[in-house]
Amino acid sequence: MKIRQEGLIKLAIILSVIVSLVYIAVRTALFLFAEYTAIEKFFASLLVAGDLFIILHSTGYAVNIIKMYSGKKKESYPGYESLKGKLPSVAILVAARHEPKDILENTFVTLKNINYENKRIYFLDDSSDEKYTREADELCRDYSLILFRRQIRHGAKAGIINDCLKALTEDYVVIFDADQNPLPEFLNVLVPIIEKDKKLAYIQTPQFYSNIEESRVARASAFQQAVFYEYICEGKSSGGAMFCCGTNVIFRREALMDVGGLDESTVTEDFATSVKFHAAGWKSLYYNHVYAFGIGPKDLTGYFKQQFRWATGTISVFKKVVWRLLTKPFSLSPFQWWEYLLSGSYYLVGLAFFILMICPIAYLLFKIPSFFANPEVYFLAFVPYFILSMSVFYFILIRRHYRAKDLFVGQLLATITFPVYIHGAISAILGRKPAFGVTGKVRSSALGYLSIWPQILMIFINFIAFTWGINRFLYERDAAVLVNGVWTLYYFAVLCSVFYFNTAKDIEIPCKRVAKRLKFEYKVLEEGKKYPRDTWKECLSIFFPERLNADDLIMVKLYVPGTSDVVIFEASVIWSSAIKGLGGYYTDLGVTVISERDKETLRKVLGK
Amino acid sequence: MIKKEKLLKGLESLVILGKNKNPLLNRHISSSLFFSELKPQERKAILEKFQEISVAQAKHLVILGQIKEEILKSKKDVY
Repeated sequence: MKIRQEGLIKLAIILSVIVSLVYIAVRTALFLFAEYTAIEKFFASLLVAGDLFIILHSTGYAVNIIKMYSGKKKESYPGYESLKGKLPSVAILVAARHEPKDILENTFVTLKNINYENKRIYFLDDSSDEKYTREADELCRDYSLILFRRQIRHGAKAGIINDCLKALTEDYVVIFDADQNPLPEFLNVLVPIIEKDKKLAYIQTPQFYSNIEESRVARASAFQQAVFYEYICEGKSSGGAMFCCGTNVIFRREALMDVGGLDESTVTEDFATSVKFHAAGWKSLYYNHVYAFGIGPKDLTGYFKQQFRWATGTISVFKKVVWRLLTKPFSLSPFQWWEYLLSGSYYLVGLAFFILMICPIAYLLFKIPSFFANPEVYFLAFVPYFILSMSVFYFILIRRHYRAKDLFVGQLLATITFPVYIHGAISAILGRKPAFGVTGKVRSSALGYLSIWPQILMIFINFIAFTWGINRFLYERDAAVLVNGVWTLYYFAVLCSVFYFNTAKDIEIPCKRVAKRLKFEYKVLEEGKKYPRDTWKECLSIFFPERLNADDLIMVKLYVPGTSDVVIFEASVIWSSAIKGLGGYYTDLGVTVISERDKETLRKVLGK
Repeated sequence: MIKKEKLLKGLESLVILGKNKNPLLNRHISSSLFFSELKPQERKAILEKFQEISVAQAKHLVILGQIKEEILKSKKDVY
């Protein structure tokens, strides 16, 4: 049954690739043979290029899925017992510059908690601010870390890792970003695998954002990550072209030394170094099990910063990949070239989005055609391509338990990021190198309207074009006007999502007020620790002698109003708002009650 | 046999680790349950268990703190 289903999926994917190719062939033929003016041909050539870019990348995605399904089923990897008690030494490196202490503390707690005896944890502190260096010293003392600092800064994160590498003697080197929290089994699972295959340079594991409930941006970017780390990475790995993503990765130190360490010439040193590994004949593996949890950007400021860095770095490596292809065409296999060219050019997607957006506007406002076809041909060529490719994209991810709504929100976020991608692409093409910075993870804040002017401008222009399009349609009754009008309305709606994402508010948890003026006693068990929130929530209006904070764990003794009953329960504070009164705070409090038994009791007594 | 100073240091590192580790991993794993194939009722049951572990952990830490206090006050140097 499963094999039959997989066969059907492969068939649907092949069909979607065929209709995509038919679409682009029709588009190219119309462009080449239709007689139009130079300016119209210019817009048409842009649109063909934009379409071709999107179709190439969709085809790349389809190839990855087919590759994954055609790959070895249920690969059997050696387990921990294969080490026979001889544990190779592992150096765990965490490089940080001006990272908040609590984020680092969480990381080091989980690193200490890794069940692997022969490991040493290195904190590579690159901070120049005295506050952060002092905090780094404290962390090293509290968690028995090996502190590494350097005198001369060069090459950002890659630079400090390379400096540290010179002094290392361990067999393997694990790199974690400062906000990654691995599970205890991380090394027990990965070391036996890399130990078995001496040509394996690194094993990459997925990145997983666990703060999906905290903000809209974090949630959407988590789903973007999911699209990449599911089929794309598995497909790349099946073809021996998985590149390193810079964190949650274990390297063979010998391989790292062989290629001269991490590439310091770009901010995406991971991607650049992967090319070197593969060109030198080393192998790579993607192990699709989440063994580390991270924090995604909480707001557009952090997200745009991260995407700009990735776009600039990746496209700067893309230039090098193209140069290598021209000068050393046999240094990689055809599949590796295909994958590196696709991955390296991905961030040109901002330009493609922009072109697809301006063509309907140019048609409606200035009567410049760019599609060069009557509506019937357009529908025959475009609709099957669009419906089939989108259906396949959503279907295969829904099969892995993702929800269409979440994936769509991820796509919206990518679309509104188009100016950032364009900026990144131009910077990379001009050879500008962005400074390495910390992606904001602590609290969310909204961007000012000036910072999102390109999105607002395009919303405005699409609106004008749509309005003008309605006017034209009423007079001209031309179906082509209608088609272009629909596209401007679509882009208008998609771009308006920038306001949905650009909010300082975290996701609000609905809460029902159940009681007022309750008499109770309480004790704070633990301050500021987060507990799962997907449980019963209640709001209480209470007079507190002190201010309680979100995430405090409290033990409460509640006197049931109108009776002599007392209920004792433990709860985690979700939120609290307090107004200062005489001798305390009038507090509205949202709590998650911890135990199921307590919940039942509370439901009974508060329901009275 | 262990010296008082070493015992206190060991207890302190246990407190630090215990204080942070469980709630942190609890939070991460709870989020990942969202992607699991488990039914809502099963997910809820797992979350309940996580929370119970957190509560137990918090209580252990209180006790560990009390033990630390007692050792600190005690005149004994070897345990």
